Amino acid sequence: MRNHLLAFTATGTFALLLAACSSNPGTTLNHAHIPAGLPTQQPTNPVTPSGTYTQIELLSRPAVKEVFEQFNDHKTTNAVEPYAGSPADPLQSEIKSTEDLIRPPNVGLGTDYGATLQGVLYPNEYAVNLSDTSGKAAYLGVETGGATGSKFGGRDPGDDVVDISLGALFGNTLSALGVLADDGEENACISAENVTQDPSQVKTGTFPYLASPH
Amino acid sequence: MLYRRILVPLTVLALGAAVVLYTGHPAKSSDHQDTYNLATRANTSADITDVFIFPSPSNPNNVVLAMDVSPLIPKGMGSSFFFDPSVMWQFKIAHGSTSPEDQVIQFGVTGTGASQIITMYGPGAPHEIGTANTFIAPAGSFQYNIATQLNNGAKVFAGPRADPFYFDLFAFFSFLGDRNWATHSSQTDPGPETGGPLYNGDSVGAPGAFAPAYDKSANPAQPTFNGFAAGTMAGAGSALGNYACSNNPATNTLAQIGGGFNVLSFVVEIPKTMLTNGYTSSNIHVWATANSSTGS
Repeated sequence: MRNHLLAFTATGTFALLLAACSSNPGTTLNHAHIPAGLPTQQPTNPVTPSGTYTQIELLSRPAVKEVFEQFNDHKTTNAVEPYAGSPADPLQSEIKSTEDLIRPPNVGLGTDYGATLQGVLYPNEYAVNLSDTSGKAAYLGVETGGATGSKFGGRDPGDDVVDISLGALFGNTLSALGVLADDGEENACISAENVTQDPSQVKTGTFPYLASPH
Repeated sequence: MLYRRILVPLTVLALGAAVVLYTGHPAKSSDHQDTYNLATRANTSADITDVFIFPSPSNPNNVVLAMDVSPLIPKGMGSSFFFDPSVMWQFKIAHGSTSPEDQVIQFGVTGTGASQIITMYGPGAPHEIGTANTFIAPAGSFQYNIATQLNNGAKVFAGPRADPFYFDLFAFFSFLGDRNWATHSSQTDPGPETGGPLYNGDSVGAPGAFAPAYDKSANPAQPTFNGFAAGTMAGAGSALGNYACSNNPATNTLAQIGGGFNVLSFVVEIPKTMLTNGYTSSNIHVWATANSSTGS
């Protein structure tokens, strides 16, 4: 995936981008064909609980909270909307403050990696273009104009999301894309993790697509 | 993706003696075990580890949404873990703009053990915007661990799957050890973060808390992942200094330790039109939440 990012050269584009059915199997609904073969639903639904449920966990983009946010702030972020912003959601400010420790803004070069990443990664939500017909998801695909593999965005179970993130945070991905000048602060030791998905983890072609348990 | 909670006996089975010797706690990563409270709940299914959204591999008109919960289920024990009936899981969707949500897909669970019944609610407009939510109209119900076709055309599944996330967890902890919940004694214990937001693995708090190959106490100024060719250097311009990267073998923690780990997964495949009809944009923003009826 990072190779795709490195191949992306549309400088201005990146910045701009930041800114069935029926009850019967085998029938067509809303132009979607659902193949036969699965059991059908329970004849009745349990009684719907009437109470209010309070949010205690939130997740969208992988590795963002984990890399940027102090552990004890996760509980706060988990209990707010992903678009709440500072100060309700400490994640927004910590994306920049943490990155600034490693790659402080460079006035001479005009670089501010922390602010750029904050603009890309917050709000902490997946962007998905459902009209894309590539048939392939790609983490950050919408934000990069398809540089990570497609313009569908979202996230495929096989996406190397860790290396994509590490390359942007600690490596030269953003400068290679032409988004920012190279600040010379790249750290090769933490800009990739050298791990690949095991065959036992790979997505299958049959619903529910996620691999069978170990 | 920080791996959260798992019972100590299971950790012994799964992570192996080495981890237990060094931590005395289960380990976490990614968004696995990302708070002390989530990591120590009696039932770990409120802990969301990963969220996926991808085109259906079998039907170009459909889209698949998947949410993994309950991190670090040991090999062979996937079908021994179940969902917490006090929790509501949601995919929240905003069309066009990044906020607020204008559509939700919810899951709730009744019963215990392998006879659990899972109900999908929606897709539909949420009753409430924000973090306090109630269930909307049900779409249909299905059994734990059985892929099912609902009457509204959705294919649904809720049960154990192999964790697809790949990551060298312990190498990550070597330079962001604060993210290891086991280095905190409570939700409010700052743990190693008192040493700073970086390099806080074992310089403060819990020296030697990691496996020997990653023990930063021996070289605290050299954060690194593994698997680099001998002679690879951090880089002369690095603010952290120029030093040798580790050429220790990299580890896919979730697949290579203890025979691999599992999660519980909610998977729903629906026609894309269910997410676009009635809305002005096919560009959506998506996130997942777990809500508790007890508020904790």
